[in-house]
Amino acid sequence: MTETLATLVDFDEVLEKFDPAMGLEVHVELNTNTKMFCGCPAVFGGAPNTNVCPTCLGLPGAMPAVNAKAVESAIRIGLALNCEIAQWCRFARKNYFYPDMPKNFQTSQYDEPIAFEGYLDVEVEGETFRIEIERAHMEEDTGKATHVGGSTGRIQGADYSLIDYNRAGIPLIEIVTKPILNTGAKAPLVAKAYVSALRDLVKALGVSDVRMDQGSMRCDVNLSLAPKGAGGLGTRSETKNVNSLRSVERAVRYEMSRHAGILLAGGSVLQETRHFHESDGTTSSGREKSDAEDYRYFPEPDLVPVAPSREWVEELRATLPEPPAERRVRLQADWGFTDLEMRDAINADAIDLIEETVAAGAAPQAARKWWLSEISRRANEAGVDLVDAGVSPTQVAEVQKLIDAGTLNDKLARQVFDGLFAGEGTPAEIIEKRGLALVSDDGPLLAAIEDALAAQPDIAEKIRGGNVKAAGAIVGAVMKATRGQADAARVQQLIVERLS
Amino acid sequence: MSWIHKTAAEQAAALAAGEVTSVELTQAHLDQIAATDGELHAFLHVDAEGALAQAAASDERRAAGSPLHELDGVPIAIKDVLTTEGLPTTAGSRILEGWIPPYDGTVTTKIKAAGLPILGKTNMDEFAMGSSTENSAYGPTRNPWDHGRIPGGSGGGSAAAVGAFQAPLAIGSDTGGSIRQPGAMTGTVGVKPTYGSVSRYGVIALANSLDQLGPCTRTVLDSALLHELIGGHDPRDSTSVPNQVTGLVDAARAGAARDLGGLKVGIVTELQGDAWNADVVERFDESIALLKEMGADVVEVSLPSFVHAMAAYYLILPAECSSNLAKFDAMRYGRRVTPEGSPSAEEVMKVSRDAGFGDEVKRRIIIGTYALSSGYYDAFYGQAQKIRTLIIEDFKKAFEQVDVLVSPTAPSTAWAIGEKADDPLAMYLQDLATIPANLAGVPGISIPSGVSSADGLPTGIQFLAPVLEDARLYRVGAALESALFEQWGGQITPAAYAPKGAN
Amino acid sequence: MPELSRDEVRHLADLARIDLSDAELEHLAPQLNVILESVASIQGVAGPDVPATSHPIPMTNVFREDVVVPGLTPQQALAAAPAQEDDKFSVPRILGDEQ
Repeated sequence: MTETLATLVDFDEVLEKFDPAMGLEVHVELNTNTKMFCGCPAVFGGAPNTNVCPTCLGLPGAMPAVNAKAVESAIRIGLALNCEIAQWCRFARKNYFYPDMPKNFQTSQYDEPIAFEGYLDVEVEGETFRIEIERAHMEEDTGKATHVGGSTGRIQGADYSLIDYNRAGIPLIEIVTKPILNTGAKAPLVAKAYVSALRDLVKALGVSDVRMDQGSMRCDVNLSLAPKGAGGLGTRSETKNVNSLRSVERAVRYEMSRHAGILLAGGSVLQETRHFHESDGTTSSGREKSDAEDYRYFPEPDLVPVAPSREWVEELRATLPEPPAERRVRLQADWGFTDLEMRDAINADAIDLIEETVAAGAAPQAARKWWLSEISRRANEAGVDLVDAGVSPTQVAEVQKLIDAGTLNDKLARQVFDGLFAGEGTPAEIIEKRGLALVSDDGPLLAAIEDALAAQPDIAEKIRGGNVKAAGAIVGAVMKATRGQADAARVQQLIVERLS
Repeated sequence: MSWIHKTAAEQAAALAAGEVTSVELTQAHLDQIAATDGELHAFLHVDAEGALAQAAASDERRAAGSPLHELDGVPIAIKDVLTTEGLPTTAGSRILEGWIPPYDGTVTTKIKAAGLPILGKTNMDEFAMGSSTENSAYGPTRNPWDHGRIPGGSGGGSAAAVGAFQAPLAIGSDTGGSIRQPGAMTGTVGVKPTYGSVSRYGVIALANSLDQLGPCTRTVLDSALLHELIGGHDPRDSTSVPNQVTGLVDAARAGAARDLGGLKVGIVTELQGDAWNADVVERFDESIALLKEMGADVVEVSLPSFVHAMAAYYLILPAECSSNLAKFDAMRYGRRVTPEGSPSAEEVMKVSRDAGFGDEVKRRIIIGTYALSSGYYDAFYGQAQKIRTLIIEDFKKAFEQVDVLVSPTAPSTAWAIGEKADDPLAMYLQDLATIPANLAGVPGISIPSGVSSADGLPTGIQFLAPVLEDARLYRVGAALESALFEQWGGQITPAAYAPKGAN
Repeated sequence: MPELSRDEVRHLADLARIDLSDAELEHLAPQLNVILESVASIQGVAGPDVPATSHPIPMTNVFREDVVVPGLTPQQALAAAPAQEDDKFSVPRILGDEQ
């Protein structure tokens, strides 16, 4: 629900007058077997309160015990982000009251994160931006509250809430950037590219599903504007509920416009937390905060420090997969894409999808063609990321195989995609149901050719006379007669044979 | 003389010899509880049915020739700070009234695995905050020596139960003296083990870096037996030390031979002076003389940072407990008080906590919240953690000169119920001698040093040893105890509870 | 060392989610100040070169393996819940936002 009209300044004008600064906080939910501080299963979904124990329920007397795998994953993420790994660090309690937090404190890390001072390079339209990473630290997730009684299912207006603690205690790694400056007009794209690159990196490590739509990767977008050329940082707003890459871009864009609207009217931006709305790309104010939360951090007394030996860190460094940038160079060479083709594929966030499609048997160019044209078009129409478009790489490869085998042509293939998007089943089922297969038998084609020739006898004369191009009209007639389910090249060939 | 007047070691020997059954023993203690606890109020919950069933199982095992442990079948009481599955666990607070834990603490598990019937849960100052058990939301426990007086705290229930022969063994917890000081007040033995040597899993936390469970008994040997049972590494407690807990019983037995030749004992300079009542010091001096007679070399040792121990303690503890007690918000368990209208969760939390917590708890939560607040962390909590370092260093230096340190356990004998209740600072001063050990993690024992010549009430003497050297406490404690018992003709007992026909 | 005013005590009680009555505030504030005065004595005792100790026995790297350990059933988890619905803990309407 949007608040009463924010004044939004046109994007170009924002850039004329202001320099944006961004800070991105990404939470990654690890895919460990168990929770951060107890042996409960760390699984998505499941019947409520079935994955709980005294520790993650915060029962009196219970104590935490650190998951070794989570520490390992945290170090690997830090290394992949070119961070320094702490020689010695501790967990700390972040104290505040909220019903989804069983202890009313979160066991996290405060001034001693396990990884710090790193960077990640991202490319936007040919320009490279080095995003500096302030820190990556370990913490635990909260339970999940559903709000009952309000009209929107959101917290405002709810009568009461129901809490499921299955998620409480699942390991999270929080990655915080330093202020991202000097991005100018590309700010929204840089933000999106960073989150995308981070997602690739974490996915390649195999430590998380990084599904923004499922909450295993969450992004908070901080934005502020400073007067152009003045330096310094303006007051920032924090936007939460940013659940896709598109939303990251849109949130940055919207906040830039909104901040500018306030500042140009002579007002001051409120330092607050805002909520992003998928439906219209706007943000709205969260609940008013009476004063800044005082989290009263202190070292967690029930846990001892984590001091990863340098040997262990080097062992883990050796397990890092190919950095995404290097991988892209390799793939481009393997696939034979031009720089432009590769860049388009990267911008469309299609690299993984193309790779999977190729692995499923399609030629790289064919994979590229389908993902970047047909499927991209439909994803844009539906307002979703490519990966959420409703078609799998295996299905794309299957369709291409059918084209290669002569069962489909491009036009029919598009109708198969229609069916896939509509969820009508597998390509084979759709072809069957809709009767889309190309006519494979020459018999019906010859019959149709006879009919067409009979209907246009002068064309037949032209063809016999050596004007092969005239055959096009016959081909057209045959295609019409077969409702497009003829292989045009084969029809052409048959016509020529027939008339020679 | 009833079985209840025997020591735990004697009861165990009798079980082994077939002279008595666990059911008989357990019933005898249940009878004593029934006869005396109306007045004494040492117990918050008595599980007669459960204890007798456990006793019967013990007898079956013994008949089959397979007891689980030397103490199998000897009844025990547990301070209500440790979770016991199926038995109410309140930590002495209204906010947990009726709470039945769904899990056993590790020490509970060990006790059950050894076959000791659990008589029930004993009274305590609310959330272990106090030195008199007057802060219990369920009413105070009375001192077996004088029902108008406090038994000490926070573990007054366990000490009184043992002192009044309601149980031969009890579990207590010690954060700043809550096992040792009640021991001194009631003429019983109490031990705070090396920090980390007994699991805290299942202990409702007061100050995580200070808390430790320990034995409450009538003799040093009994404490050694119980201490060895409950000690040891626990993977569920990340602060638990890897070392095994052994050699304590041997040390106690060896100590009873009263040869302390070669032992260097240090009297702590800072734990002497005007704050210490003359009658307490009188008994203390006599014990020192006995130690010397037994061959100990007694010197004076100064630990200068002790003067700051109280201040550091009363910042560290509230800071940790303000965070520990945040979980009691009436959302998942505990007593929920819902004000009229349609209150928010925040309002219900506030009202429930105000109603469920007593004054001392509120005081410490507020002080702790303050000590951790932004702007104050370095000055308060941060400083206190540094004082802690100084105290640890003082202990290390002292233990280079001596093997054990010694002091009176508490500055006075038991005072009247209500006398200090509205003066928190006066109450805090009771812990002068005991607090430093918790700050440094070193083990300490309090044994009875005789009754006061002024009021006939018990006094206690405390020994401290380096970390992981708990055995030294049992050696010197057993030696002194043996010498004192000889002087007294046996252990000192409160007149109202003395076995008929005893001195 | 500053004394705590009644307002400050009220603020701290708010942070700690305790609803102190006026009578309680009257009663507690002076007691708190007496205690705070006595702990003020440690100001400046330990110099900047003295490290803080949070654990009396130093240990590091205590971890557990990433292996599932059976926990509680929903019935056990909810047994003490003041209110529940559909196997979830029921709590009154929450005013604040998630952090």
